[in-house]
Amino acid sequence: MPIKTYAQAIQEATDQCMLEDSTVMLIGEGSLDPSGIFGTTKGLKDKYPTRIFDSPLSEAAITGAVIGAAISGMRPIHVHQRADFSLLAVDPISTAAKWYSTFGKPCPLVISMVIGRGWGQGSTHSQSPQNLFASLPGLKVVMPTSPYDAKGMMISAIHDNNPVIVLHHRWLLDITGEVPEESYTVPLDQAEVVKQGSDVTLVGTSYTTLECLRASEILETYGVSAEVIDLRSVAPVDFVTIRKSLNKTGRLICVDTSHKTNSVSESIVARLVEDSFDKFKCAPVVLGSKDYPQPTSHFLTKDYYASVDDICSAASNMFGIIHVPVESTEPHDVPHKNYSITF
Amino acid sequence: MITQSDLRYQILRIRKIEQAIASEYSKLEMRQPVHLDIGAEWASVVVCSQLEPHDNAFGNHRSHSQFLSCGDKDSLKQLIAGLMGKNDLSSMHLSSDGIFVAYGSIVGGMLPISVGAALAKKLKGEKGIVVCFLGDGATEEGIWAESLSFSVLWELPILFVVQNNGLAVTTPIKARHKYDISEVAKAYGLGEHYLNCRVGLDLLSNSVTAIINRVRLGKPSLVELDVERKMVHCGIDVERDLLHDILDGYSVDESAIDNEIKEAFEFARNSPEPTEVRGVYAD
Repeated sequence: MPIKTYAQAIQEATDQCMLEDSTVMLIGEGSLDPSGIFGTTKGLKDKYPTRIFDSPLSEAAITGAVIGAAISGMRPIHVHQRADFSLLAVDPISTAAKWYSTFGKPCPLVISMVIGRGWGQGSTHSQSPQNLFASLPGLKVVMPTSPYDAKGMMISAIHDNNPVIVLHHRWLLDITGEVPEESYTVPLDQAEVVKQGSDVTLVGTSYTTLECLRASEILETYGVSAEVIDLRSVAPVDFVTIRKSLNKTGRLICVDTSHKTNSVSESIVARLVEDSFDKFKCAPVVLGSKDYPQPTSHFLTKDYYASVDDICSAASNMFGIIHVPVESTEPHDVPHKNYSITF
Repeated sequence: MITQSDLRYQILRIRKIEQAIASEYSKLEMRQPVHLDIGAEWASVVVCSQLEPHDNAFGNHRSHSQFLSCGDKDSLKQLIAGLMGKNDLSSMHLSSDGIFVAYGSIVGGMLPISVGAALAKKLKGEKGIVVCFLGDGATEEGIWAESLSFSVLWELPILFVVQNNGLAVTTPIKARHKYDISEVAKAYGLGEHYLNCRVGLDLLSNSVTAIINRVRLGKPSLVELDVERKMVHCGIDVERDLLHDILDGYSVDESAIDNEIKEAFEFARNSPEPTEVRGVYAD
């Protein structure tokens, strides 16, 4: 199977959907830029010159306009280079969420956005607002982790008759993995067990799934067998898959890309405590970034995000083991070097 | 009276600071994106050099020049220390307790906030005006039109300075809108002006003085300045040569500037690493 980057997988998904369906269109600030939004829109203008648009800096109006196009027979994809820019258009996104329930007519729309991290992105270029979107009934909100899922979930999102928010983590865009040439779909409502285990369930979202996998390798050396779930969809949450794992392990750690408080991970834990209380062998743990905006100074971001060591410590505590963090000489504000290789 | 020589010296100073940031960037001490202003320094200098202590300025993601030319205390040292992560400032989030209030990295975000600051000055009966710096891209945000309208409705002492470099990252203005920025401002009832650096610094400076004097009388205005962006949107690579460099033919002893820059980098490198994160709530 061909090996591609996550960004190439998104480009391929978009390309194949535009080829097979002439109602698919794409608009976004910088989509015609030579870098093509991290490569995700590269080459598409040559193939579909009338259906790819660069955009004025008018996020609210463009979001409204893609809703108008969506309810009038098009299948628009609206792209933001940072998730933060979608916040200028929260009201139209809320309108899209309510379109079907209010008017009974579909609004087939994809809003694709990138979550920034590291290198001084600061408070307004690093937000991870999936919890905000997940709180609006009517939106589907997904966060793929692997290049395979990035392509399959983008195609599903484009085919879907509802507004779908797809959040891509900046630190995933360059990872590589197996991506089939042909068009295929991955469901928008299913988590995936990416590593089997029996002692503790680690639920990752997007980039934190990679951190959970790395933590599971360290935990193995302590004799702790971690099962790792890639959440993939944050609205709706696939509770069936998580409950099945919890029933087996009795221990749960959810790791979020967003602030811990009011995160999707917190709401997952709350729901499971409500309906599966008897399955827990010990208190569940939620890990996320600190509850303040990301500082720009790299001196102040070392402990900002939940780290592999945080996951290991939380899991080890459940077994009375003390995790000793490994001193890292790698810079913390760029992706871990292991993640540039095949997923 | 500010002389043409004073203005050019300040423009050269900022040019050299931006160049120093670019040349030191590869040392990986400034671990954050930088938006350099080389080519458009004159626009900020011509406006900010005329501001008085009770005036305020708001900026955008490319505001090193405004931050440096408002004359706030230690701004150069604070900028470099911020770029190195040694204080709360950063390339996209500068602020001071002086004239320069703040700037925001979301395009158009500071427009209504500037309007509110001007409203407060009027309500409190304070002297002084508010200057809001924006780019051509920000005029595409709906909030621009709303902000212009409020400023006229409430007769606020505000000057919108549009630095039109014709680019939003790499997307040219023609691919983004077809209106004339000054004409839109006129239609909303603002005093509107268009200036190009080719007319020379004397005329630019005198024109801006006249505009600011009218704003001081409570007549909201907009001035569109035709500027060039020599560097890429974000980063240290040169994108194009300047067509009209206002520094052409200017020569002066640069040693004082060189020393100032050297001191600022030394100050930043010797500053302690911060350990405390500011909380989210004010006392």
